[in-house]
Amino acid sequence: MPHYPLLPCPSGSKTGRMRQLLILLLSFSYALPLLAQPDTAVLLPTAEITTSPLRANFTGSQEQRWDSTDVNRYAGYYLTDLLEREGGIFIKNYGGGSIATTSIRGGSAGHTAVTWNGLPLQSPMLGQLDFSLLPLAFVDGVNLQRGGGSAAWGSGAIGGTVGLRNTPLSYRGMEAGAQTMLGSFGFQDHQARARYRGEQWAFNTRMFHRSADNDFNYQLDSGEERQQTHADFRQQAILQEVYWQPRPDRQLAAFAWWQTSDRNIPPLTTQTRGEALQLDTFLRTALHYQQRSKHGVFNARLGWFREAIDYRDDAILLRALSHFHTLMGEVEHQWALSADLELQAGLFYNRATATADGYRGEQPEQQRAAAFASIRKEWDALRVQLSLRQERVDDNWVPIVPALGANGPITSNLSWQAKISRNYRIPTLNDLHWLPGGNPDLLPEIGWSAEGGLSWQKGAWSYTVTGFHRRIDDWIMWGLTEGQNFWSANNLTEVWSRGLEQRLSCRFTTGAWQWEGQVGYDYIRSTNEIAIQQPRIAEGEQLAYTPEHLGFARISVSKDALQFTYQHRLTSAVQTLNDTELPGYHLGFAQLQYQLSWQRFTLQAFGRADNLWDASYRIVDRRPMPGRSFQLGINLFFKHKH
Amino acid sequence: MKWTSTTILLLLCTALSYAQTTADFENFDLEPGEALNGSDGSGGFQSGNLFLPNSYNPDFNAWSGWAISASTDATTPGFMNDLSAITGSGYNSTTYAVSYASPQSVLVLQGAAAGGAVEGFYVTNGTYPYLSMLEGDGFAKKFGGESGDDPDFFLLTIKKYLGGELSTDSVNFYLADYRFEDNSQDYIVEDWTYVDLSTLGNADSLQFTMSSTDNGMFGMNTPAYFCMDDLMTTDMPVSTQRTELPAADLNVFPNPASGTWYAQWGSNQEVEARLMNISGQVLQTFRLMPGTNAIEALTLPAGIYVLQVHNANGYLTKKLFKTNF
Repeated sequence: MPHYPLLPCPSGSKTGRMRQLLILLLSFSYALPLLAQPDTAVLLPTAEITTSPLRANFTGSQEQRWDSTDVNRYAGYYLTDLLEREGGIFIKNYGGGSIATTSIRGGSAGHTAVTWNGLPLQSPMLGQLDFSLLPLAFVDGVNLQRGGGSAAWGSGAIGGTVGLRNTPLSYRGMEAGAQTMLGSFGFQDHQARARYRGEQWAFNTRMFHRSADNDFNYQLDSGEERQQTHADFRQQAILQEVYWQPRPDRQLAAFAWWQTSDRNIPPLTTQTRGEALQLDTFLRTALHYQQRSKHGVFNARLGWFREAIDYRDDAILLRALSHFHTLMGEVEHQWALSADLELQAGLFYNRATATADGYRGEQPEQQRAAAFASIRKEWDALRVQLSLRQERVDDNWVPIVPALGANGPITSNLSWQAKISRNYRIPTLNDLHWLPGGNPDLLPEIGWSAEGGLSWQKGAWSYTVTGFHRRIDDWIMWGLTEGQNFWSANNLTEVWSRGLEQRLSCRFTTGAWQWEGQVGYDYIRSTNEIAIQQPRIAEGEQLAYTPEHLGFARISVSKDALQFTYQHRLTSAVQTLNDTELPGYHLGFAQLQYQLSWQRFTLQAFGRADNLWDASYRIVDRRPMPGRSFQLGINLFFKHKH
Repeated sequence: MKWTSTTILLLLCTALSYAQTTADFENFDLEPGEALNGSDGSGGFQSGNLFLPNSYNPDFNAWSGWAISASTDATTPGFMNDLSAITGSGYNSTTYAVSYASPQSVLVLQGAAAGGAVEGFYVTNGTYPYLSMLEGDGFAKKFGGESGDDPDFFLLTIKKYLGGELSTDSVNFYLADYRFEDNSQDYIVEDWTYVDLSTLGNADSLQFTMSSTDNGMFGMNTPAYFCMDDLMTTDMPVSTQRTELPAADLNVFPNPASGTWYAQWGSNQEVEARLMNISGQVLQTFRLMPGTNAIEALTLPAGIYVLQVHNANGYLTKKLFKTNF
């Protein structure tokens, strides 16, 4: 059953709703006053604007969700920290403040779809997202879907999908706060936020400034100790959210997120000096209209993003400027046809244009349009969901991608789930148009994946085990082909990924102490199935930077205002691109937090230790990672409920 | 008697010693700072008795094979400075040749030197690979590695083609060598250094390949460039010199071609022919008949090819261009 909040029926006529929708879709303005004001005062529902459940939680697969409380525990951290410590995701991190990308279930960086309030965030030029530019301070919730999700989310949702959510205050009133953190290696993080929710309007304003020198010491294999240089960064951002609810059953939200990140690129350990720097700037704006009825929920979204990268290396007289614009729109409706039957259908459109030196004066454009639908039927002990998506990219049809999932109970404590899906990733603008090497004849990467698992729950304990299998054909790689003297993009290989994921969690109380624990272990084999000469990859070889074993454990204990958390993570050895193997490593993290409340004020003070055991490790070859570091922070906020 | 014997020996040596021709690349009359990277579409450069093939892609301003340079920039690191020698000049001259040997480069002996012996040449590192090995860059390691003890090397290997066959013998020259126990002996070549090729014997063309200890999935990380000057070829004795056949005897059309070249052979006698790629590898051997002959190009990658015909009277070489459309 869908869990819609109890809402009154809309009183506006269908014609009126359509006209409002049309205005919204065609104008793409923030002209909120143009929309009719309601004639009666209404209460805000507690529901948050989000995607429809049929897309966000596909039957037959596991979804992991973190709400605002979970996210607040990671104040000052990035999304990568949450995903690798509690999601068990491998993050290919080039070092503090440097680029970070994901690998989920043995997929590439372009095989993780990321949505922000339902809109895809991946760069059309690169097909991926730099996760080091995603501060957790700017989201109220995160959900992680492992496995293929192209039927719901389209291109790139092969390894998994990460959804970021913003929500208004859950109560009528206001909240304002500031947080400051200081840490090792010149780390500073200062945040401010103000949130208000009235009868019809709600506002959230958040901003932060973060910087670090990153001048940490690291150790070479020979035992020699060195200090990292040219690795400092600064990030600044502001996110403004406006929510307007003229009636209890409809809501319009507007988002504007501006961010700039200025970072020096540190030299490799095999490099005497480095002078490269990168400036990332983006503006992401979105409108989201949602209307609910007793029959279902309607969502319409519009997004316009502009993102730019300015890479400079004065030492080698290189400056590379690039930027892209994307305009996207989506409408979807989910109907609850009966108590056990739901239907959802929608349309998606995306237009992207990009500018870069590599396009040699051209400004390539990519237009994508897709239709998607899903149906979920529930019988006594069985729930089944079928989804379909058909996408057209410029003049080419992407093969239709279905997904079929099911779950049901075995005993009162044990249930099963299974899913089979077809998934794809379209070539990026760089793959298609970069000179030299762009290949306009590239096909999308496409393949089938299957997964199945068991979930067991008894009292405070729960355990899940999931096995998966995936083959992706026409995997795009840059390589040298016969007779060419430059690298080019081609559909070179096929990759077979398979593995097993396990999660065990528990929660219990002893006297005044509350305990919470979670353990996870993933085994992942992701192998190249076609031998290639250039790049040189053997058949059956594990993909570079794809660990076979990932594990994590978290234990949290709290009493009254005191909370202590310890996290541990292990990553096995990985093959690099330089004919070398990086050894595996263990990392520990600890956090102690104390909270004081006085009237409407709350003060949180916390201390942290990252890499507690001072492990000397590397995630990327020739890129050192910091040893043990400490952070101290205070968070003061004021809450007032009407 | 002694006087007579010495006189005969001297006369014999004089008769057997062959004239030498030095390709010093000064014939391009470059001013210091200038360079030719083949952007004029000429397909290569001629100096002395050498032909140095060049492949230039105007779509992305990239060259491979050979370039001719008088660049003096011995300080700027990075691939933007790929036409400079670390010496900042040629060997006692202004101009020199730069080769991008990825995966290899080739030069062709012509005229009186065709099929003759090569004495040797002067070589040094390009500024780009020199500073890359000395200091490291975003792609390639500093030689010696993190500790300075890695036994790294950067090796230039020279082989010859004769009669379409690649020799098994080779001459190796270390452009950098960090394999010494004593790190103070490690070196990266920074001067013009003579490489003796006399052991290779007679050759039609020379093939240059580069290898390094810094490799990865995408091949060699060390930039595959070297610089050359004053290559000395030996003129074949007049009696054995292969003469160039009249150019008018061989006409190829269309050129460039995407599917088939048609070679019109003007002589009334058939002739041996071979089609080579820019690296000097023989792709096909066949006979050209008097009249029009079809040479299939459809399956060949786009680029520059060399058609060489030869008979008892001499030889003739023609550059062929293949396009994809």
